[in-house]
Amino acid sequence: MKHLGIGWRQPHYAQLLEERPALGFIEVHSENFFAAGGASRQLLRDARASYALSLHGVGLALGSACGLDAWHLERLAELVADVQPLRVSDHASFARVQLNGEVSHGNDLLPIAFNDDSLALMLRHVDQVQQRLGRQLLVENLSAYLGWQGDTLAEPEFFNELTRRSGCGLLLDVNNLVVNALNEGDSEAQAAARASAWVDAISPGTVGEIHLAGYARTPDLVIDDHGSRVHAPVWQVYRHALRRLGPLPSLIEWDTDVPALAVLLDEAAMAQACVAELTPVEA
Amino acid sequence: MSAAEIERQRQLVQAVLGGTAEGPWRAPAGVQGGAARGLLAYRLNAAALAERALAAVFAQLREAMGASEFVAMAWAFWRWRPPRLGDMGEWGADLHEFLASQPEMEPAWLDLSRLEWARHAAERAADASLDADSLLRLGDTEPQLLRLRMRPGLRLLPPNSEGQVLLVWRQGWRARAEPLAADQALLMARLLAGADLQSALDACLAAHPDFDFSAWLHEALLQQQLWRVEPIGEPT
Repeated sequence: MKHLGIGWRQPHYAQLLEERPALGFIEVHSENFFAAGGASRQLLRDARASYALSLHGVGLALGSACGLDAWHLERLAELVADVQPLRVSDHASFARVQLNGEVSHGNDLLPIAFNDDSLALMLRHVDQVQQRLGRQLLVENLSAYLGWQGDTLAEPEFFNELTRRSGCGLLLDVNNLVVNALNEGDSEAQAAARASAWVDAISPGTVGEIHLAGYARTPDLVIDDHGSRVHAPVWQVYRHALRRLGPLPSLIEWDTDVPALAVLLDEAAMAQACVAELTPVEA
Repeated sequence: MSAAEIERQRQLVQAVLGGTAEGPWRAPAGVQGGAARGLLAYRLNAAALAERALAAVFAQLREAMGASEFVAMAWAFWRWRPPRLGDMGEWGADLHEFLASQPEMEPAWLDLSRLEWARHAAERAADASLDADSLLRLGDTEPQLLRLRMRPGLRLLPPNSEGQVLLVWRQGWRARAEPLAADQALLMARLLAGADLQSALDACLAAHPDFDFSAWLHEALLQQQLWRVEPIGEPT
């Protein structure tokens, strides 16, 4: 499964290293390994000896109007230098704000506006990160439960400009596209169609990785909880994305109620089957 | 980016932190998409993250408090002292201060909050093995010109509710905590404060004339507490 990876979470730390199933890569949340020393960092080094690694951040808060956190960027740079990951990514979101005279970090992926000002801010911050790391950053599209009035750019247009002008890549989360459409009131079929149109609007060659995950329905909202198998409309959009973009590294994310490792591997095999049916030679 | 955008983002975070699961919902101007349901989603996520992050560090405190009280405490603590960093493993140092500010707080809970944070910090501290060569300085350099450096993460806690002074340090990958005798505690406090070895020993022997430095040093090496012996003035 050279294109497929899974999110490597605490319940599977030991089992993965013992069984070493064939995977193209594993992905971890960068911040979980920021500690200067201790068992977690050694564990990551051990995993790196067996697997290609993708560092996926949730805390750079690239869209924060009050600026990036230099401490965070330095910790990330140190981690990157230590484990030499295949890819480094984070989100098009904000989290850092001034509260009561101090900078606070919301530790969530809060939505940014899609306009020229926020594009300029993202460009500045992505450049800052790429300069410090000396490598390309992938930036992921969000699932958002709120938006800002007065957006002047469509979201794909925003990412096209961001990738074109900064040299960063897009981490395309197809689950997030479906979740956003469902929360707009779409049926699953409509959501898949809207998400596929989003993919069509993205500049070819800019996507560096695809994320797949499950969502949860609540009475008010569909929540991107990464707590179940990938849903049918998301598989549909994934196949569409592969047809349009080619066989890209793809990840099964599962963060809530993490199941047996075999379940994640089964989901990864399903994703591999999607790659294989479309590109039998390259898969 | 404009001051208006900084303020708009601040107001959104403030709105997420601003109430309970029932409200109030004061979304900032410019937000669209069903403010109440969106804010609720972010608020519930933050509250769940608060509980999860603290439970990973303060497992014994959670057990002592009970799950439901711990959940409420975690959210109250977030609102009192929100995380400053994007690494949730760095959040919780102030939990002792927060609990101490609450009325009729159980002394044992205060003890646990301080101890479990110290253990957590020790297990995240930078790796450092003994600098064995540096021990030779004990034989060839005057003690007033030497400083004993403990391994990263080692902490001496203030007396707990039972009057014990606990030393917390990392042994291998795991943190350990042990009560110290008064003479050991005094020496360790002086060493951690940066005193030279002679001054630390003088203070200790003045209060505890029977203190045995050789035995202490043997234990400090055996227990993986001592890092290195360095000459005064050497860059640290």
